[in-house]
Amino acid sequence: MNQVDLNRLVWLAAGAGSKGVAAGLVGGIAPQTGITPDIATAFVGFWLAQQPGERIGPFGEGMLISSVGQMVRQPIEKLIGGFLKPTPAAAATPPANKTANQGSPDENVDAYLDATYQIK
Amino acid sequence: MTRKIIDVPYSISEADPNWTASAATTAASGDGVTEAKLGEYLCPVGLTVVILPLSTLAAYLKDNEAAPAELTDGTPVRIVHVDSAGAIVFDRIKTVYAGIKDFADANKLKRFQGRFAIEQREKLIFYVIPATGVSLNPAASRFEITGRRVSKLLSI
Repeated sequence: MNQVDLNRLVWLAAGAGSKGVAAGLVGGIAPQTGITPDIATAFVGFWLAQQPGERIGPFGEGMLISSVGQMVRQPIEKLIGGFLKPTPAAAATPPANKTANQGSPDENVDAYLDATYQIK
Repeated sequence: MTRKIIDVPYSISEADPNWTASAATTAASGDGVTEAKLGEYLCPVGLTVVILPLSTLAAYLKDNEAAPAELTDGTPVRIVHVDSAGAIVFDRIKTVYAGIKDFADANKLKRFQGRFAIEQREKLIFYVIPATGVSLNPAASRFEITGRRVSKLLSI
């Protein structure tokens, strides 16, 4: 069993948590850039992961992992949801002779003419 | 509260308040081709007149000559149905005078071929083609179309 490096784990978690902050900043400050916040934070995480240091590296890795996880979440949801979602029941088909201007023959002249004299 | 429908026998004639007789044509003006209008029935708002295959048409048509006389048997007669916009016109009956001139004998009364409804603001127009040298005098003519009138009952 591998020994857990608690220090590294804490900084990975901090990076993953900071991803949400960074994504929020990108989405809020520069929404017009055309880059989704997840992609921006993935780049930032990738860059940070390459930096020297025992803390900043795992921090960047955590941010990168979180960003990639977020990016693949929606396609996976659609894929799995498509399999698991029950087929919606077909909407009930209205009777062919229903019209907007309805009423019982006793109260609507057109309905009365149709019912009594077959005059459409 | 919803109002009930009332459906009763009804006839359209020259005495109907919604009938407008046309002016008489000039004496000897007929050419055997041009239609002269006897008049028109304008269905009032809130009323529907139903014409069924049992509905009958009878008329007594008189000319406007110095010595007034009944039109000849071969005089063409046409009744058209015009929609409320005045844009769509259907022929409802096309015959000759001989076919509609008998008021008295129920077995000889002219009957409509189909069923239709004359709804509010729609018109029935009665046309006649006087023979050559003959005219038409709507004021001296008579007619009757039987049917049913359908309308909403007055609320209590």
